[in-house]
Amino acid sequence: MSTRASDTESSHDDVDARAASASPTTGATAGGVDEGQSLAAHDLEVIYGEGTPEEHHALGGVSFSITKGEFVAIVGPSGCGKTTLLRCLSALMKPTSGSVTLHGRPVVSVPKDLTLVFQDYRRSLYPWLRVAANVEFPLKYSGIDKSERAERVRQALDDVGLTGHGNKYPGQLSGGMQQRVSIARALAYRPNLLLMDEPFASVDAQTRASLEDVLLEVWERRNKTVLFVTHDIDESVYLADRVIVLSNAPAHVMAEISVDIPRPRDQIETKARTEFVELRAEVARLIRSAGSSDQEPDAPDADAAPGPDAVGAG
Amino acid sequence: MTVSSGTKRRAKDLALQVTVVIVVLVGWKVWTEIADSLFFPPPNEVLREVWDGWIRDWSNTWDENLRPSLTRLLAGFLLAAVLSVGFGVAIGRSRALGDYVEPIIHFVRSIPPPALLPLFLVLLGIGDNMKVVLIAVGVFPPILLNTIEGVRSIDPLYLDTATAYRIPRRRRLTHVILPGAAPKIFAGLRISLSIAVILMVISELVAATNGVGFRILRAQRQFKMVDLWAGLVVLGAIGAALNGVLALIERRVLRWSRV
Repeated sequence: MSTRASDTESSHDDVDARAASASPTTGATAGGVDEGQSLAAHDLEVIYGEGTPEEHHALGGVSFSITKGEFVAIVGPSGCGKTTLLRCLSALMKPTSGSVTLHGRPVVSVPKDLTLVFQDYRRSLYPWLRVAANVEFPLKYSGIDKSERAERVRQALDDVGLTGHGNKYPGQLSGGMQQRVSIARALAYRPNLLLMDEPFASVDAQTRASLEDVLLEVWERRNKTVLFVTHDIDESVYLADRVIVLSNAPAHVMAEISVDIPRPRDQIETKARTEFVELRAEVARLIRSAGSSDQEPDAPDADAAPGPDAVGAG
Repeated sequence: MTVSSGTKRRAKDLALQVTVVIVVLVGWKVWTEIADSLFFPPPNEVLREVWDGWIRDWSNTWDENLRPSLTRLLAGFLLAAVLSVGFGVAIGRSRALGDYVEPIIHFVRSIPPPALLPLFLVLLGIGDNMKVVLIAVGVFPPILLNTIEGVRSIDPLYLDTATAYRIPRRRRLTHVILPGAAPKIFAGLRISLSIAVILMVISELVAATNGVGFRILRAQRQFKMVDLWAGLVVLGAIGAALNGVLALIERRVLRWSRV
């Protein structure tokens, strides 16, 4: 069952071994190397189609780090390379230059205690598996016995408010419910580090608010580390301990803002606080200035490829 | 739509279908009565022959006609299905491999399989091997091409998800790639099944001492026109039954795609 052969590299086996030896509920992988710092990006640079007329400089040297137990949001203008960044962090793609480390060790394949919730749940859930089977699927191959799997599936579906829907196919659920299934799948997997790529971007406002609160509640209860990518400023400030603001492509970190708003947060009460209003204004100003300051670096690029079909990567 | 209105509609459809069958049979009967030709026996005689010659003599029919034909057909079909799905997944997953072999596939596909019969007679003789190989070669391309297309059309996000959850490679094949390509694979299987029936009959018309095709040819040579027509009816029934079985399997396997 533990055949994660070809795509794993030795240093990760060490990480896996340590994660496995720790009890899964405490999830303490923190011992030893680089105490406190979980995931770090070091000067990540990604250039798509290098040397071709369609060359697109998505990431222009992104560096930051996340501490264990932290909830960090990354915001940036649309198309600034947020998805590219997450793909690099989870080793789904290799950056052109720079590196990613987890607990101080380089990440070259998807680490065991990390997973990703994709923006497009419609294409991320497997339509041929029922809801419960979708949630259980990743657990089957990580050496968890059957009764434990069933328990985790049940609990994860409960957590996202989908009790009793396990026997349906994803196609029978609404969009918001499907995205809840994909979140449940990530929760049941119990990664220490959860990366989320605009997970609520395509659900309606009502569902979105409730999913935000589900996420916060689970995060507070399980004390996991979350990196949450969004283009929604309110969402970033509402959810996070810290907001990282990215510039337009080629993206770099423009600012890191601490959000010292007490928890538990509340959709109405928190968003009415002066701190919230001030912080969201600050983030908004940064993003707007990202847009305008970007006119200059973008100009030569526009000259090189005057066509309207700008590369929409990331 | 409510359940009862759905049932009502289905009953209405069935009634209509039965009516059409009756109209066709009556038309056939009337026409043969008017034409009074030896070559066009009336339907009641043909159906009587199906009953007397095929069904009442079941053990003989089974041993001499149905079993040999079905064995050849299924052997050729299953052999080709397994091989073509295997190759199709490999080619669909590897752009380079696809670039190399696709021109050959498209060329071979353009040769009408019955035209291979003379060659196979020389190479493989007149035995069952020749017939099985002919069927397999004929049904190979549609399944192969559909599998390739099915595998290529799998959303990359399905595979990224599998990678993000560290699903082992072998499981990725059986649990992500094959189910993802299954709708297209079944489309290929459906086309191939009809081709398999055609090739089975053709091979039995040319070189056989048993089978359904052989019996039809023998009836023609002995000038038993009713017998010949009965053989055609049986062939139709075999084709419909095989399609029905495949449709049933498809409905089960692809249940998710109809929700």
